[in-house]
Amino acid sequence: MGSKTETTTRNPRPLSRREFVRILSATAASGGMISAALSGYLLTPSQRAEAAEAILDKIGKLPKRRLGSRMGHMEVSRIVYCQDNNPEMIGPCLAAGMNFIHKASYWPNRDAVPAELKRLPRESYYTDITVDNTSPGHNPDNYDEAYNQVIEQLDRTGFKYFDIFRAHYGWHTLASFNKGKNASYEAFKRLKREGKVRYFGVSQHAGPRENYERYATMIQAQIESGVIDSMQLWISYTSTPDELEAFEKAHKAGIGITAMKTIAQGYGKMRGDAERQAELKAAGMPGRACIRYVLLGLKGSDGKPYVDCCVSSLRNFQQLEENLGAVADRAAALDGLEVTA
Amino acid sequence: MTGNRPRLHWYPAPQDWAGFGLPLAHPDDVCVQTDWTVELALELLHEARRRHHAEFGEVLHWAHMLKALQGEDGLWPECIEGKTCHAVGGARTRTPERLFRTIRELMTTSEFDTVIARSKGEGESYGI
Repeated sequence: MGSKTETTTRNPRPLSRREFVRILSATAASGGMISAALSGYLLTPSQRAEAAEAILDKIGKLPKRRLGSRMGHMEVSRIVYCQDNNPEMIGPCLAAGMNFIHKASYWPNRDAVPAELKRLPRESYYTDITVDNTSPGHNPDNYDEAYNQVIEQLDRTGFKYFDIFRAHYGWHTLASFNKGKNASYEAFKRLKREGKVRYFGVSQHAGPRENYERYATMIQAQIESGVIDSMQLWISYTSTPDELEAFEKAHKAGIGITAMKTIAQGYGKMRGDAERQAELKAAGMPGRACIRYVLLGLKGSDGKPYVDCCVSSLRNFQQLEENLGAVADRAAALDGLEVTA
Repeated sequence: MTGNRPRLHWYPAPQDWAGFGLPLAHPDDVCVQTDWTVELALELLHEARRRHHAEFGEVLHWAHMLKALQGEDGLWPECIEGKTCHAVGGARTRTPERLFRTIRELMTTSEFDTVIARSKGEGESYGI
């Protein structure tokens, strides 16, 4: 290694240009994880940029898929960027083809919106705003809160519009959802007329379940209401059969389906299931296996996947490589997997 | 548990519990200790910054669950029954505010602003 200093994650050391290139080349030749080979080293900004390029070159681009059939031809990357990711990830994620930003409204001001995103034409990517009058501690009947949040966060972030108005956390009871005749939908209709949002969605949380309507029942009510264009749902390796049935029904109704909590909820079970990891061609990579299970493994009666995309928390290059590699074209092809629309 | 450095190890509450995924210190525990959860989460966030890898998604999940458990007084139960997410005893804590402030700073997000505003404190824990 050229140095006898122990290199651990607790004691990172810098890499010379020569060592860096040697590690990159050796990893490329062996087919190993680039981020794992570089973990524990203190990289310079240019080395980090080069490592990100090498990772993307290895895993390839993210495929896109139409997000349901109720929102025109909105085609989104199958892994979605989340506003609270490590900001360092935005450049590589955009380069990998991500074009949908979840929780875009939560950047506190225009300076906080990443420069990489601001440089892009607004029409080249999609956003959602998570509207909080339905969040815990708020009043789901508060029309003004819903309306004003959108106005205020549009002004704060500088986005010209949000593609999806997403009721955050969703509704706890069927009564508060009221077959779609609720304050959130009324606020949405006005905002849509004003050109500030385009489609109506929900980020329906499942818990704490004691205080919530049964998950599958709430989803069924939302499908039947006919007002929901896009659902973001807790979909993971731990989802129950009745929940999976409800997700498929929603997709059949044309609703765009985004998975959330895929790794947070599924990681523990997947980590203990070496057989399923191997089946998903992701042995030793529970995060990649969790995403493959949801995006490729969950198939409807027509044999096609019913989850359109998945939100992934990305804190570092290892998660970037492991998670995006679940469906990115080169990584999937190397594992003999077909990622179809 | 408060005051001890938490081990970076926990048992997620079972799938059929209301507090699904929240951390338990021991596999046979039935209660989620709020202060310990916060300390564990903060430690994981610290590790995430230092080591560039951690179970970050789980911390965000805990934050989302704790957001839902904030009372009208702006505080949280000190002890939560994992199966039901009901408070055990009357002790209340403001400790989760520290977690929400840390996440706000770390992720440059306004997602938890209202939770922090409702807790109106400095993050100390106390019994009632």
